[in-house]
Amino acid sequence: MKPFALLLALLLSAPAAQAAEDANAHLLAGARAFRAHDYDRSMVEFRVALTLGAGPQARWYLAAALQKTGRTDEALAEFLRAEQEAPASRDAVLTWYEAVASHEARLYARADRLLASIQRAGPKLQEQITQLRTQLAPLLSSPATPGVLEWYLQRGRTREPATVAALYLEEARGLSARATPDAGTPAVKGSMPR
Amino acid sequence: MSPAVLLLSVLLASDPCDPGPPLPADRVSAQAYLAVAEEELARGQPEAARLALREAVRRDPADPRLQQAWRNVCAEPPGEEEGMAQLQAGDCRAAIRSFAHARRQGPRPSLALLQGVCHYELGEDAEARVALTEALGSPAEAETASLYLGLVAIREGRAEEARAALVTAAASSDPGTAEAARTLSRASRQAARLAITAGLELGHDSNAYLLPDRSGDSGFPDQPVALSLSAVLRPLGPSGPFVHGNLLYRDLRLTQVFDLLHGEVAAGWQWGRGGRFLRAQAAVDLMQLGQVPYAQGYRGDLGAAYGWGPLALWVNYSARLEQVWVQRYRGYAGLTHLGALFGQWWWGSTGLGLGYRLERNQADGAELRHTEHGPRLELRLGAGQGRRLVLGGGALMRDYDQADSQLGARRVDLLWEAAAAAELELTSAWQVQLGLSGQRAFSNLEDFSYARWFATVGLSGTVVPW
Repeated sequence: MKPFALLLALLLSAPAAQAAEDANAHLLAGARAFRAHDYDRSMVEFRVALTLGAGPQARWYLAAALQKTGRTDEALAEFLRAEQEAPASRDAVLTWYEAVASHEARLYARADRLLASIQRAGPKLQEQITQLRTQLAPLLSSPATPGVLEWYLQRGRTREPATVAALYLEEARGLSARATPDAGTPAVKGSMPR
Repeated sequence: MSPAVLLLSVLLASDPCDPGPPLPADRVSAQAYLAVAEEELARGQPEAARLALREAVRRDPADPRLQQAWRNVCAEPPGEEEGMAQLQAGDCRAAIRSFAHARRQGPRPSLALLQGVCHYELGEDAEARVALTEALGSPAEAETASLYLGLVAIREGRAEEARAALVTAAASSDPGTAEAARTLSRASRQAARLAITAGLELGHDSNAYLLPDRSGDSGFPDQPVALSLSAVLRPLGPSGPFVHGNLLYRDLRLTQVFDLLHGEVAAGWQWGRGGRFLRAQAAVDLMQLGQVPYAQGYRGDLGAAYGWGPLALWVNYSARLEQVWVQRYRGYAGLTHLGALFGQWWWGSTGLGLGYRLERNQADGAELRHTEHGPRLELRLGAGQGRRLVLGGGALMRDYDQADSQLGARRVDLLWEAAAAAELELTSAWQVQLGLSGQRAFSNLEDFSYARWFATVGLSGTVVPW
């Protein structure tokens, strides 16, 4: 490379490098806060990191922090975005947080699928996975009452964002297979995600 | 440290608008924190916004936009703690003022919920609806808010809206919330402006003719099929005038003489709603027995209900004048007075009820006049997911006024009854009932001592078009 071109490249890359450094600092601050169980702060730091241009893998951490602060729907939305933008960054622990968020949102079938997909979990995490799947088993085998099905359909129609609404409709479709014949199966078939 | 300095340091430390020691200047990060804070405020998360803005101000304290944004959120939301204390002290009016003040700082779904509940307790339904609707936006508060929106809609007589609100609460993972929503959903159907109910019941009656024990027979079993249809119209909601009608047709498979067609129309007025009301009504009914017109009755009812916490009390008086058209049964015509008192105490989803009834029958046939009275005990158990079990039992003592000329003695009866009924909601409108009951009558005249049991399975549905 000619000296001029090298200088130009350095000049152009300097602000970008500085921004990446800033973003990484906030990612680290977010991770420290997460470890200290200060999840609100952790969530803010991860959001700032993303605003400053942190890579899409930061979305996984943001989603986990949102799950910890009880903002389940927002967590699910971020998990979905993270899966789209940085699928390779998913690991066992992040999948665990996504499964817990799904469980909290009563997306039981989704939670179970996620838990089943976790591989190479450490012994402590494996124990937690087993416990949660044991809790889920009766929920997944019991027949769905019309009221429950209606609840999922209503969420599927009203929740924001649309990606999260689609999860409720997906759950409703699964439930409709276990519902009684008058449980509104046509409504499930007709309810498409927005 | 002198006391004054100590006091000053405490005051400074407790200043909620002190962002803390400044950090090395970093305008880029400060602007990023500001952007995050604005997003968090828009999401209704003032705590997170405060946290982000504190960091922003510490990195760029001179930025007037940051300073203004920080001043807007830095103070602890005033009114929240006072409101909680006032709520716990039972002062809902003061709590509403405090919560409303706190909510002016930004969206606070949890406080909106509490304020809505306070409005509901004070009977301010319109204000309650506004606050509760805001709380619906938060997943953490949505189920409780739905429950109270259902209560508001029931009180306002908007049954369909109540049903829709209670669907969310009925799917709650909290069993208490879910069961309360299901109970309210049933109440919403009862409080609808127009409700139409249809039912079908199949049964087995072990002793349809009430054959006495001495007959040596095990009774004359029969299987009734009953169809019922009823409608109630309350144009102004639960409090106000109402009209209702019932039609019942019961056909016994083997016995024609007890086939029954009964219709009743009633009109009245109810003052009050929910668990506290006074009600007066007048009714006329027609009865056909064995496909023969049998009787016509005129009835007046006066009733009241009073609910206080877990305790509910009902008292009712009715007078019925009956005309009998079949010549050989005309002695049964006449006036009947009935008074009943019933109290129920609830522990969660379990209700224990105790009642007493007193009836005075002044039949035209002097030998048929009698007084009967007795207690009744009832236990209601909610098994969750729309399943209920009702166990009940009672006794009735009947004394006739004078000796029967044909039997040569004055009749005295004692009737024991026990019943168990299970109810299962199939949908919010349809339910199945299973019932098993038994009767044992003792009389000083052996012709009137008998045993009988009855088993039923029924399906009923209610629609609330208005």
